[in-house]
Amino acid sequence: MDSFEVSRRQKNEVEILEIKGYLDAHTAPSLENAIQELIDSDTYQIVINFRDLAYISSAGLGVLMGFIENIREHGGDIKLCEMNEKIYRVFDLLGFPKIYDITEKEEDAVQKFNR
Amino acid sequence: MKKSLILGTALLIVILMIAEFYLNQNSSVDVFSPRTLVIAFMVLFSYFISRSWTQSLSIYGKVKIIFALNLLLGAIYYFCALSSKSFFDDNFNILGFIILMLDLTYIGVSLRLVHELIIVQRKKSTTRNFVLFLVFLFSFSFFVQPDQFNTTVKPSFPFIMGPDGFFPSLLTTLMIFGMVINSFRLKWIKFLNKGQKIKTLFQSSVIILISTLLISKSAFLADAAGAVSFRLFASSVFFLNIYFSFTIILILLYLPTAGILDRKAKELASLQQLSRSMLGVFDLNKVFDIILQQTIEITGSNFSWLILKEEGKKSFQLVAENGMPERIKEVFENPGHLSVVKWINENKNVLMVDRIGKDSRVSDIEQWRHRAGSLLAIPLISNKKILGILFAVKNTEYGFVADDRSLLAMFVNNAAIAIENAQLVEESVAKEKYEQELKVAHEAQMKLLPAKTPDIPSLEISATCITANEVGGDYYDFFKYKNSLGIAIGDVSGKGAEAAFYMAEGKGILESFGQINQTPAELLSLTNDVLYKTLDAKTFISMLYGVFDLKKRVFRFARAGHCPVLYWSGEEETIYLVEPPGMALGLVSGDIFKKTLDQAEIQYQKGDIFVLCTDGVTEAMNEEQEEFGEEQLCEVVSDHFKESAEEIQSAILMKIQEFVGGASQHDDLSLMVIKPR
Repeated sequence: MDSFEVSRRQKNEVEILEIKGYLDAHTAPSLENAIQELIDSDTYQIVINFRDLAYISSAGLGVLMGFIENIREHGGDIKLCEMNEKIYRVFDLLGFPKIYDITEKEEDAVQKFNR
Repeated sequence: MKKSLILGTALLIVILMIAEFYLNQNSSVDVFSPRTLVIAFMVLFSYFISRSWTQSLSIYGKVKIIFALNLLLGAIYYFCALSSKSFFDDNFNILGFIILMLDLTYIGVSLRLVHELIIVQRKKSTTRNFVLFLVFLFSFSFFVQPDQFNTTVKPSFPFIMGPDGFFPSLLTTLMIFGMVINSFRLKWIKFLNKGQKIKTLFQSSVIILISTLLISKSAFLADAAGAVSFRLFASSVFFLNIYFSFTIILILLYLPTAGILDRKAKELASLQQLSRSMLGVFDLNKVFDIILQQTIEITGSNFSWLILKEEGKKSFQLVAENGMPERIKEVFENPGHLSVVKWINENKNVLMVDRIGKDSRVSDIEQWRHRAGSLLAIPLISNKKILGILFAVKNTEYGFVADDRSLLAMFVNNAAIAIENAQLVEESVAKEKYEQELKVAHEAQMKLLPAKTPDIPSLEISATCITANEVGGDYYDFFKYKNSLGIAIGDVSGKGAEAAFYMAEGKGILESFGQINQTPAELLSLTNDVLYKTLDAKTFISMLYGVFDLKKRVFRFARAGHCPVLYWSGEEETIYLVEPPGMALGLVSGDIFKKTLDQAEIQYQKGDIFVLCTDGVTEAMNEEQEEFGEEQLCEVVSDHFKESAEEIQSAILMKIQEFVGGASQHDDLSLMVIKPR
């Protein structure tokens, strides 16, 4: 019923993950796998584009928390962009904007790496 | 038709026998002498009695027995001929009698065995033809009296019974005709494997050789036991010679293709064995082992391996191998980028490579070069999706033929089903385990929640937690102190037993630190200090902790990433969402947490309402996957502010129920309504 998809593309040496659909405890593993694959190939500059994400549960947020420490230790980061209001509200309530760079435009997120 | 033919023939013979008997009463024709009766009895007895054990023999076993008996008889003849040449000269002696009996037994048993070879894959006429032949054989032996044996028979009607008469010629013709007809019944040969065919070829030659010697040596029977036994013996052995000559010819014709037939039979047998054994196995690793073993057997490959797409993953992984060299194994540990895998992914078809070293489709695997050969790669397809790829390699070039390809493709269909079966079973076992865990977690969660709301004269309190099928990790609690009431509401991000465990930990911390006089912000900071160290990276807890100062009538609270407090001011008849800053517990270390966390304070009075909830309330979803939201929640409260805490709570729940409709609850939902009196 609830579908979730991750697709991957590259822009200025930054990996961009586009996530789509419903990110909850059931679908979280596929985002987990996608990020793990990037880490396995020594890619630590990651932007996640939330444009087509309809819902995120705490398990989905947990995925980000699970990797962030390792990624930052390698000099990389996960930056988030293009969230709709509802999803930003979830992030905001939990205090995630204090931990992650969240930008409105994808370009800005990519820019932050290239600076 | 068949019966009447047999009966008719038998009747004719009986009539002729009686005629012969009466017409030649005075002659010494020995048709009914005790001797001929013993001969007939011996042959028929061994023919019928041997039936009980010859039937259980394999086809090749029957040939072997004929060969063995033939050899034995040949040896006895050779021995007797050496020891005493004049032995058979006597009219009757005991050794001659024994040898005669052996001869007759041999004939009986051999005819029985040949009979059974003949009726392999019988047609309607097969048995009839053979029985008719036996009748002709016996008639010929008993009634035809060629004069070269100098018997004293003087047939009354030479035209009918005499050596040159019509009857003997007819019987002889019929018998020989019967021999030839039955010699064409050689269907059993195709059931022999190549090795057995070669052995049968050799044995048939020996049988013919020894039989020919036996006929020439057994002329003594004419003297020892009368012409009947000799004719019976000689014509039977003659038949065996003809039969096995045909056998030799046919085997020689079959032999060049015998190997192929053998292989086909083996392949089909192993396929059958596989479908039987594989579909009953639900252990994935065992299924893999069977598949690889069978692949090697069917195609005669040197090694084989299997790569599968793991559930939820896009790339292939090596899951099982049989005899795979280490260096090639390393390449296939992570096979997604290999051109052979890409080729199959695109074409969804079987790939047969005759020369590994020379084929561009597999040229990116350097490790092949050490030992070139041929390769067969077959996709396992289910519901048009590629589950995996089965590989088989032979160390010789051009090792696989089109047959291997089609047989393996057929087999792979079964393999895909077996793998899916086993995966489903594994999944359902895991699911059951998971459900069991959920049950335990659910019970634990229920025990952590307070059994009833505290009894406070100045506060009307109503609280509930509606759990989803899967534990979402909601938690709420009350801590009663002198002149104050602590309340906590939280949501653990994990699920199942893990969530329940962290919930218990949080409750423990709140209980022990709550005793000390602390502000809500201080208490949450202390809680974060402990949880940040113990929670795993993925897990965090959103929590709201507040204290109702019952004397000063102040509600003081801090929010660690939790939903805001909904405050209805009775005086202003207005709703406020009070949301002081704060991050969830377990996300960041103490300093950052403390810096961000702030407290809120609300002076309350009679008629005010506080609503505390978890995200299960605001994120309750309907079938269109829209969320209930804060606005609707506020609306309900404003519509029902005059009612009691319990009534307001039910109104909210009703509204949520109405909104959600048929959609299933996906998260825990906790709701607390507090109304000062």
